[in-house]
Amino acid sequence: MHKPISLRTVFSVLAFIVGFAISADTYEVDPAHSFVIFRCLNVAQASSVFIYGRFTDIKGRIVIDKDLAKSSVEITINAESLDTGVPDRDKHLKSPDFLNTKQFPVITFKSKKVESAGKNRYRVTGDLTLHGVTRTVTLTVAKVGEGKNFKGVPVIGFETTFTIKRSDFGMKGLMNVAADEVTLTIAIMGIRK
Amino acid sequence: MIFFVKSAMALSLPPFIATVLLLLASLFASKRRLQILSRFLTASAVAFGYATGHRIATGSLLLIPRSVEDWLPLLAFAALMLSLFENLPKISAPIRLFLRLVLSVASILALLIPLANLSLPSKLGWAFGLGLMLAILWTGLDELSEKQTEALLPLSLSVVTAINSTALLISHSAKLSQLSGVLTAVLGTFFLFCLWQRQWSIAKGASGVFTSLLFGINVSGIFYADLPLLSAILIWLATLSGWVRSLPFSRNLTNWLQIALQILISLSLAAFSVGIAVYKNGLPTGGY
Repeated sequence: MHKPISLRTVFSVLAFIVGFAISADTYEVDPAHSFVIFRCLNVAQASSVFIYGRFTDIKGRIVIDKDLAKSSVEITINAESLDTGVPDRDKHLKSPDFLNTKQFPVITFKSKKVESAGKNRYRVTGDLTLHGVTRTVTLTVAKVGEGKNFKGVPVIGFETTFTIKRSDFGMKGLMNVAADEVTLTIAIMGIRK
Repeated sequence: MIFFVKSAMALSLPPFIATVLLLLASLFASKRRLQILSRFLTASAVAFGYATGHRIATGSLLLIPRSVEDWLPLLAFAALMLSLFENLPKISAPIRLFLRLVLSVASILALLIPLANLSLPSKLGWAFGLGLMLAILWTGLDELSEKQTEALLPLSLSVVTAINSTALLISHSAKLSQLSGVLTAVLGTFFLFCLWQRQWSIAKGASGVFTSLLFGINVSGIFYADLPLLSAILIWLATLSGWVRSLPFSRNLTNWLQIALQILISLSLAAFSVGIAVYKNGLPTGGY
């Protein structure tokens, strides 16, 4: 016969669950206040200019835990939402020449490890999936700020800038048109759920 | 201008060398009366010539495809293997046609499966429709190349692929445009070889490899870039323009008039293809 579970054990478990729930805050990425911007040298223009563009459709979730190791971030970017301000260039960047968005419609980042890197700075290691290729990257992320917005809802914002090589993600063609190195800036604001 | 010339040279010279070497090997085999080997080497000249250029244009030549264009060299090698099988003496015409149809449908399906925004039934429908067209084009060009053992056919195909390259560039894919340019270089090499060896033709299994590649490039252009379907169909029809010389009204014309008519139809269809691409996509703004 099983020994009955004591009231003390039940309370301990409940306290743990409640404690966990309290210690972890979940934020939904706010597309209106989040930006993914890229920069790439235009080699075809004698490497005299950087092309800037952004992705306008961003989704994601940030989990902030007191125990930093339990914190996480997931971001999904709609590759079709690329915008450089020149429609012909957008179509070219979305074609099989570069992103091939008809085959690879989303770009994702999923964290695996979050560590402190100083005051309001974090080292986030995770999987970046771009053009169907997943590579582990480590980003230095800065907390821009947090608090309650004008509606009284808790918000939090982060920003990171990092450089990747597009060839590492299978985009090896047309190196005489666009440089291999692409610098990405991800600035996201989360709204607490 | 220097930029385009440099790009064209970098893309076309290695395929030219690879194609010439394999055509010379084929000629050597032919003189030794090794006809099956000779046909295989001629078809290999297209497949390996293209693969060389593909490696330069895309920066990779993968055995396991990841992005859609990675399939193109594999389609060429599948067509090459089928051409080897077709050249065996005891293969009947119905079996040959059936195998071409199966490979054509499978090739198109391979290109469409990675497409994210098309349902499986739609993919199957497109694969059967376009696969049937590919098999017809393959057979049509194969028969034509048996009839026209002269340099005009590879020259005509080379010009058509060059114009196709323009249509693809207008349709926002420089990479697919370059791949069509690689075919231009390969077929241009065949043209020069045919000028030297007057009785040489691309009939030796090479037409199947060429057709698979041209079809594959354009299907990628339709579904992954902005190439209009009608543009692609006109380009495919332009490759068969040599059949006009077999039509009843054309037989009464002199040889030179027949050749002029073939060139005129070929160029007109290809030009219409570019016109339709411009109509849909507009002229490139240039230098973006």
